[in-house]
This record gives sequence, structure tokens and C-alpha cells, in this order.
Amino acid sequence: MRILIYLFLGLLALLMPLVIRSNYWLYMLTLVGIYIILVASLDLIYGYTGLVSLGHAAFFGIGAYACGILQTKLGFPFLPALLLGGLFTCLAAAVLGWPMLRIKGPYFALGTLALGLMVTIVIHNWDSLTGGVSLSGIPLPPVIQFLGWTIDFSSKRTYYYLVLLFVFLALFFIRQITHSRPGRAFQSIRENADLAEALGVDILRYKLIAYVLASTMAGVAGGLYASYMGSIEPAIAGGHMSFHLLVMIVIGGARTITGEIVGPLLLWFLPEFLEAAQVYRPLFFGFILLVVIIFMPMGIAGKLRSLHPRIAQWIP
Amino acid sequence: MAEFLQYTVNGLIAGSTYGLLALSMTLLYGILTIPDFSLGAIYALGAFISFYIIQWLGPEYYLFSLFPIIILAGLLGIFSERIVFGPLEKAPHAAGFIAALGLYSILEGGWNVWFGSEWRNINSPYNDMTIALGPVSLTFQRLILFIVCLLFALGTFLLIFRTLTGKKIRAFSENREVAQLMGVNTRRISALTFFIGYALTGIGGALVAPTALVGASMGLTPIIKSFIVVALGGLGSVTGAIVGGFILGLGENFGAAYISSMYKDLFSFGLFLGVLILMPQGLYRR
Repeated sequence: MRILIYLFLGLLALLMPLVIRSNYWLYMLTLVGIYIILVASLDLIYGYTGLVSLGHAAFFGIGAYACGILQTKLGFPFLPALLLGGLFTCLAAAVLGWPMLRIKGPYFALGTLALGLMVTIVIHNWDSLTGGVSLSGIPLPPVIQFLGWTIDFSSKRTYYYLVLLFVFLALFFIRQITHSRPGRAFQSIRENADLAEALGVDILRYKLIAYVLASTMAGVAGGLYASYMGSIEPAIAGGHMSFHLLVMIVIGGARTITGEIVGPLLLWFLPEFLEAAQVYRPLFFGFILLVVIIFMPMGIAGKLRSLHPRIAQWIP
Repeated sequence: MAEFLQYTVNGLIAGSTYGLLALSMTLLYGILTIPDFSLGAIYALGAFISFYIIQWLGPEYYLFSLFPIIILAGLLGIFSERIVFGPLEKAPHAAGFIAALGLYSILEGGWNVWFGSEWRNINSPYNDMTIALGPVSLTFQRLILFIVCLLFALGTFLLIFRTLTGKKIRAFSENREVAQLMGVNTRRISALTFFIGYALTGIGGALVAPTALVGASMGLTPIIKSFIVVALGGLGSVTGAIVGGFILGLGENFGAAYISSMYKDLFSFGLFLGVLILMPQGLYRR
């Protein structure tokens, strides 16, 4: 049943640029795509493993800066920079996660927030490496000539497809891993960590696996973002960004692919449609978050699912 | 040697604010069993209220502004207890924490709209007067900050440990159901504790405002530091909050002086993570 939904959504996403010609909208959709990757990775940590992380954007920032610095300062081409950036983020997550994931309860969330802020401080102050206030001049991927086809990434449409490819990979990966043995381990940690441990699940190891996988995905998303925007700033690793991601997954609906997609789409486009000034957005985000967490904690996708089992079949 | 004393004094002054904020946090934690992030926005509110009082009534009224702050912040506390946290009593902890984040976001957004997003300077009449105590010099404002923080901390300490109401608050945070059985009006105690917690934080913001930049998100870093203090002192421990505040203030200032001032905040956060990892239960048991 769900296969049909996946095919439908996939087709919709593929055909979108043929329907939507405006560069502005393609730009928006591409950024939403990057957010979808981020939110899906956060869902792995928050939705499935039950860890409230307020520092997820830190790895987005680390990946973005790694990719950017490799390209601007060391002259790496796009793909190696992206992959190495992801690898670097992976290592950073392993090193930072190893001590942090032992922390329990609300302290973990605050620790991740502190971590995120520390990352922004270091990025901001280490200006010889990171350009301080901003890192600019990050190039787009180069033009590829392939069997007579020319792929030019300065076209909004082409970059949209690039990001879409990664979105497919990310969502596919999330789906596979959550329906596997490690995925069940993650969920057992969320449901009842003590019981899971008593049953032989190595909590620290699985938390670390989830954390590192998710952070690596965030890092790759960061690399895509860096090349797309051309210039990046320390704030992308900070608390406000992490908070937005958390809001997106809570409102969309944790532990659902639908939620990982709907959350970013809704929270990106709704303010656009309401023509709310930039200044009112945090108010809006906070308000919706409060309403959802009090009345609909399972988010939109969760709420839809709970309406009727027949409907739940169609919501992946 | 003179520098050492100066750093010590600076550290004690910073520590008094951290202690006051941590005190609010820990009081509210006793009721909520989650840290209330929205206090960061209340801190900023205190600063804004004193800013406007100075603008409308003149700088002489700076200390007077503490009264409306207590009332407004306190009422906001009661409001937040009733509307936001009350309904979430039965929900899992993560929900309450996320709600606190949402509340912070709304309030900070509100301040941005109302106050504007630029950072401003507030001048109180005490900012320009300096005192020298031996080799150490400080502005009158910072001395007042220190004294007022201590007074309120002491006052709260006495309230919690020497009055019947304080006993009720302690009973509530130890075991809500049994406290109810013993006749403690939990609705009232919740509301009162929120009033106190929010009021103290508002005062903290107002006191610090003339010595720092004022803006909508000025409360973010202090609130994280108050978490650090609470982690040091143990969530729920009043003495731990006050003592921990001084430890953080001193540690931060010495770190900035002898290591690097650019990375001052980094140092605090690093200390935080270190404490969390090595000593999860803090210095004082609950």
C-alpha cells in the first residue's frame, strides 16, 4: 500500500520543476529539500531513539563549513569536498557524542544546546579558518559534460534535482534503518531504556550509532547547502536553527516519513503564504509548537494516523 | 595581586546574578520536574521594563522599576503555569521541555516585535559612579547588583527554609501526591512558586541590564549558564544554586582573565559539559 504513496510522492517531486517554472519557487523547494534531509535525520535521533537534541544544527554547520573550507581554501572539487565534509562530521559526531550520550534526561538536551553554541562560537572566532562572520565564495558544482548532455548546476532546476536525489537517498535510508534490527534497538531505547538494557540492548552503542548516522546526514545536507548558497555564516549551526528543526519534526509528526516531509514544507511555506514579516516568524513557530505539543503531541502525521486504521495504512 | 582581587570581585558579582537565575530555575524545577527554558525571555523582559521606566519617568526611578517588574513577571509566571505547563502535567517530560522552548520562542519573538531587534544600551544613574575598595574598583551599579541579588537570594532562602509556605513548597517538590494528602494546596503553591521564580529572573535581568547590552535574545546565554549552575549544584537544591552561581562566576572570570576572554562563554559551556559528564548528580544531593 505504502509503495503506492512513495511512488506517487516521488513522481510528484520529480515532475515538480516541469510544472513550476519560477526560479524563486524552485529555490524555495530546494531549500525545503535540504531541510527535509535535516529533519529526517533529526527524527532518527528524536523520534525513534527518543533523544531531545537541541544541537542538531551544529553538525549541519560543521558539514557546511567543512565542505566550504575544503573548496575555498584547499581547492577540492565539489563531490570530494561534500563526501569528506560528511566524513568529518561523522568523526566529529562520534567524538562529541561518545561522552555526551552518557548524559541522561534534560541535561542531555541542554548539553546538546551548549554544544551547538560552542560550535558557533568557535566558527565565529576562528576566522583564519572559517572566515569569521561569514565564509563566502563557495563554488557550485562544476558543469558536467556527459554523453552529449550538459549538466549545469547554476540552473535552479538542476540543483533541485541534485538535492532531490539526496532527499530520496536520505528518506530511503531512514526507512530501511528504522525497519531493521538497529532500528528496533533505537525504538526500544525510546520506549523504555532501562528495560531495553535489561534485555541486553547496548544502549550507549545504539544511541551513538543513531547519533552519528543522523549527524553525518546533517553534515552532508550542510555541504549541499554551502555550495548552493555560496556563502555561509556561524548562525546556521546555532540554537535557533536547531530549534526550527525540532519544531518541524514535532509538528510534522515524529517517527513518520510523512512528518519528516510535511514538517519542513508546512513550516516553510505557511509563513510565506501568510505573508508574515520575518519578524513575526518566531512568534508563529513558538505558538504552533505550543498548540501542537499540548493538543496534538503526535504531530500532524500522527494525528492523521490515529483517526482511523484504514487511513493509517496510507501514511508512511 | 591587585588583578587577582579584581577578578575575584568580578567573579563574585557575576556569580550573584547566576545564582539568582539558578535559584529561579531550581525552584521551578521542583514544581515542574523539567527546566523551564522560558525564563530566558523573562530575564530580557525585566531589562526592557526597566528601560522603559527610565525612559518615561527618568533615570532616578531605576530602582523603583523593580516593583513593576516583580508584578508583571510574576503574573506572567502564573499565566504560564496555568496555560502552558498545567495541561502538560501528565505528559512525558520531553513534552514539557518542548513547551518551554515554544514559550521562550513566543516571548522572544514578542520582544523582538515590541522592542526591535537592535541591541541597546541602558544607562542607570549608578553606572557612572565608581567606588574603590582597596585595589579593586567597581561601578556603583555593579555593587548594587551584587547587594540586591544577595538580598533576594537570602530572602528566598529564608522563605524556603524558615516559613510554613516554604515548607509547603519543599513538600510539593519532594512528593506531590503526599503533599496534597497532607493538605497542601498544590494549585496555590504552584502559582506562588512560579510567581517567585519569574519575578526573581525579571529582577536579575533588570539589574544586569545597565552593565550589558540589552536585546530580545539577551536571556539565551544567561539561561544556559543558569542550567550550568543548576547542574553544578543539583537540580532542586536551593543552596546548590546559590553556591554554584558563585563557582561559575569565579570560574568564568578567572578563565577569561588567565586563558582567553574571547572564548569566555566557550569556557563556561565546556565546564558545563565536563560537569555533566563527570558528575551527573551535581555537588549537592537533592
